[in-house]
Amino acid sequence: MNSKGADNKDVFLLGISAFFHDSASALIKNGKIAAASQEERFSRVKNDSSFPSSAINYCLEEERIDVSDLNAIVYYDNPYRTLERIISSHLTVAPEGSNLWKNVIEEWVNTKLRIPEIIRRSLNYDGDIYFVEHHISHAASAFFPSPFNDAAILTIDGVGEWATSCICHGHHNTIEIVKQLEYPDSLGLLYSAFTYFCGFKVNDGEYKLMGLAPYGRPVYVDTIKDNLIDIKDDGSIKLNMKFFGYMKDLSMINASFDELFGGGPRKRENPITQREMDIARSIQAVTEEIVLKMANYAHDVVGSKYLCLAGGVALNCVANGRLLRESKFEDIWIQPAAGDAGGALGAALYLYHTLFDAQRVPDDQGIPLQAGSYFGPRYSDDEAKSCLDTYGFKYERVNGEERSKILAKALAAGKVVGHFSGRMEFGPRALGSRSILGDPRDEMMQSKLNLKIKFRESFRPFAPTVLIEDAGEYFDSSHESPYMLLIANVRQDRCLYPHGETDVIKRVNQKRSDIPAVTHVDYSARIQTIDRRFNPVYYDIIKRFKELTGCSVVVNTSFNVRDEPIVCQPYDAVRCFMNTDMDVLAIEDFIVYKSDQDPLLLKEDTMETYLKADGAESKNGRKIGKASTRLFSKHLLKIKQNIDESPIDLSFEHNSTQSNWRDNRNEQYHWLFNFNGSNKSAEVEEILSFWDHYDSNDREIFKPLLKSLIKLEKSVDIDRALTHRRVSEEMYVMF
Amino acid sequence: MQDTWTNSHRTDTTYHPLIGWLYVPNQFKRMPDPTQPYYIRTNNQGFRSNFDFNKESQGKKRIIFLGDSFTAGDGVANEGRFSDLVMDSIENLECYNFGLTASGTDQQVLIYEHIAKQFDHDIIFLGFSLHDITRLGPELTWRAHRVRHEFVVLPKPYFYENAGELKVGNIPAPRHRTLRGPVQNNTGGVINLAKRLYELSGHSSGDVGRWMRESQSYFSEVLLSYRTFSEYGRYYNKTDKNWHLMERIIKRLVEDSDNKPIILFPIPEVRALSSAFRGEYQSLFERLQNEFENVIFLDIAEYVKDYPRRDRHNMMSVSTLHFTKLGNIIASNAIRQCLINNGLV
Repeated sequence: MNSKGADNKDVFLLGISAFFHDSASALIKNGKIAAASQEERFSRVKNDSSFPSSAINYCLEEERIDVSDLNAIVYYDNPYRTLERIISSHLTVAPEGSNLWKNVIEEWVNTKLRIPEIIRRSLNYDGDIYFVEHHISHAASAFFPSPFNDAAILTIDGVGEWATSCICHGHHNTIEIVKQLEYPDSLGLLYSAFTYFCGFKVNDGEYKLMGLAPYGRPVYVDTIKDNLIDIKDDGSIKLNMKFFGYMKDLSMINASFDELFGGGPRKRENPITQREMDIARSIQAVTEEIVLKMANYAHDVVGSKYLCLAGGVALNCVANGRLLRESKFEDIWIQPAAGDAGGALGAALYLYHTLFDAQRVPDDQGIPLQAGSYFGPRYSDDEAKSCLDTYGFKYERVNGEERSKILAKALAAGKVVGHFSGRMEFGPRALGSRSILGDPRDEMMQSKLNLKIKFRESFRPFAPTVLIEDAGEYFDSSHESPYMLLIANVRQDRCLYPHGETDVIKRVNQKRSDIPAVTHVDYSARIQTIDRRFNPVYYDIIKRFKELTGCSVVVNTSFNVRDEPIVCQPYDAVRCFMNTDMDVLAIEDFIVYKSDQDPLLLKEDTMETYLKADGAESKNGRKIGKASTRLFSKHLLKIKQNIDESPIDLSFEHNSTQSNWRDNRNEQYHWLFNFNGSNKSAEVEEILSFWDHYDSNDREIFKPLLKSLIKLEKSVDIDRALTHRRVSEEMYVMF
Repeated sequence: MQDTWTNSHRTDTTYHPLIGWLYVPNQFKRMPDPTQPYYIRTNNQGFRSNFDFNKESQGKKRIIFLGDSFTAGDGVANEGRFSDLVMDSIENLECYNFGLTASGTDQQVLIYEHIAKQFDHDIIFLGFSLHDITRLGPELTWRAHRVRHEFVVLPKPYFYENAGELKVGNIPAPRHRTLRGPVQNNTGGVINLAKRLYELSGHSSGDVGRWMRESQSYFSEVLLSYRTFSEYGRYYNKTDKNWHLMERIIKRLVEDSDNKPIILFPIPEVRALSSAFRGEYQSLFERLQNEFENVIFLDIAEYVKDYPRRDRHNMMSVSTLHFTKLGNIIASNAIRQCLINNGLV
């Protein structure tokens, strides 16, 4: 059967994010989100930054179309402006930084300099390819699905092209950047530096650092503010680069940073000490202060009552909770796929509204555009049954009503349930479709889930899902939180106040409320409110659980184990189920009890064996390595001698009165990739036309370097080892 | 930069106790073939078809297609397969496609015995790659694990001879799947060899796969046939154990057919098609044709002789090693002509 989904009148746009972290694809149809997914769910490589071939295949499949049906493909970043920032960064620190340069050039020659070529060759696509400014992609992902017609938009991440944070104004179908902070002054990079220092993986462990914070005391706040960062009243920041290594080396921090905190970073295998807890608490406090100040400044400069948020830092739900309670805004909306994955969605939405001058898409019979964020693949009962039969699972088949009754009963009996139903979530949170569920009243549930099922750090809290209409009965906020992005406190009348305990495990196991499994040590909870309109299957389970127990809350944690992406298809779920201590698996209409199964079933297929599969070496590495050394010594150092000053100012002065926000430099945020690659000089001109940090005379100086870089790119074939490289765990991917 | 690991996220087969595996029923999915992606659908009976099969005849003549991935249609959408093209080209004809990817002739015959035979039919068609002669054992090393990129070894039913009798082993088929080492790209060795020659011919960079597809050179055909060429030895040697077993399996189908016409359609690799060479295997199938009145040997290599060389070359896809759209069209023409010439339609 050929594609049948396309009607000539339909407008299909495919958004892509790739080659930094968490690559993804999103398909919009006439402005509505038809499909979206991260590549990691298919490749099973956490935070996969590869070209998202599988995610794209899924998106097209969802609408039964082919690439020829697409009106355009859009990439979520302007690689040429990013190249300007990267070269400028190296220019600033040269002659240091040659190792980092080599690494960066290898990646750029293989991927980021040839994005249209990769898209065309991977997909056999000959239509239009656009690219959209990185922070506009984030901003669009937050504004267009939001319920607001006019809003300030705050985007905060590690870095885009130059911008590390942006204040934008969204009005009806337009978005414009009002202010921006620029590299290297980045709240996202600051937070990632502390993530690394506390022994967690950069690009992945930031939320662990946030979870650790309530165990600590904010004793390092002054150390951070006195040495590492200058915070203005308007929320703009300046980092003291004396303490950070990321401009010169493959490291977030340097020895001065270690010295400041009385020793080196925690090694991952070492236990977490009070120092890490205190550092986590301190950087969290600083982050909240900055985010709150930025938001209030955004309120003042944009003049809107509402705020939209995106960018990786918008996943900091503790800061979000404070924004909701303490900022000047009446209401806020946060894109659940706030990181780079959401950039694929935002780029497509922005292009739709800009290129086609399309009007905002109204709610569909009361269902908003984001619609619970269930935009991933669905698997049929036939597919679920086929998987269970293939491996010889014993199961029972039940219908919807019976299903929710059985699962509610199992939860009430203290069982841990793996729940797989309907379309997979888009974004980092499991929202009931691919979730592990438990009884929140069980005081041992947090430790049990952490140690026996998730195989992860015991301190990490679990989130509750609560029926939306009952949220106020359990938490001090009844604000809708469908995407688990807001923190609320457990109501005081439900809390118990045990005496202080220094041992983390003991503190985790202390009963703090009548829903202890989801009450963090500071009595907060990262809540998900469930609305039946978005996920009736999940809602009905909790409703039944309430009928049985009187409690309308369940524990909801993502269906995966440590270091594994959330499960996607039935096989992923049964493998995870058999390799953990889960008791019951509900996979579509099939109920599987662990006690009925052969305990050896799928035991050999563990995550460890999966991770071994990755290990491709770069085939062009030696050639590019030699060439990049030449580029550094022959071109970059020469430019350094001939250019007056770098656009990156590394001076650091505390308590200066000058704001670090910059006015927007550009009026256009999307472009067509329009050169065919046959003329190197034209390509150099094209790249330089995007550069906005040098005057035209200075730009001339870069031509020989760019020409050599393009020549190098043309001399090597695309290297699959680099288009499929795993994302770094030590270094934020910013180059 | 052909990404051989990009596969569908949907598992395509499920366990079957008598056949080993069948397609997952009622599935719709996009196959991300790097050169020509396509959609496929399976029906309620677990076969690639856009409609469910009816047991009773609908007043039309019906052909049952048995075979491997060539018959099932790997590489093209359901409606692009030769079975469906034949159905579309002849009035009052139904074609039920029971082809199964990665199956051996033993499983294809078992599909007839256990499943297809229950459906009214007038003609039987058995279309398979010559490569299938290597698939007659108790297990099959098949495609890569979705994540781990290792070959998966699947147990399957198989025929064996015991005191002169043909017996079936591995029934019910064992479920256990094992992994057997990392997969090389299925054209990897060929591509690597091609790359070396590509460089020697003065190219410094570029897409070797595309060059191979487009060059239509004798050289690229030789490279493509390299993978399967060694298996032809099985057919050259008339006393080979595997051919003997394959012959007995086909005869079992003939005996079970109630004297209905059976068209045998062995499919050689690209070089045989492209150069229209005559191999020893043809005489083996002619022998079967001569032995049984209801057996018709349709020799695709002979049929394509009159087509331009370019078309013959383009019948097979470099990336899937199966018939392209054009290959299916040419095959359907051959089948149509065979049906007409033999007075079957």
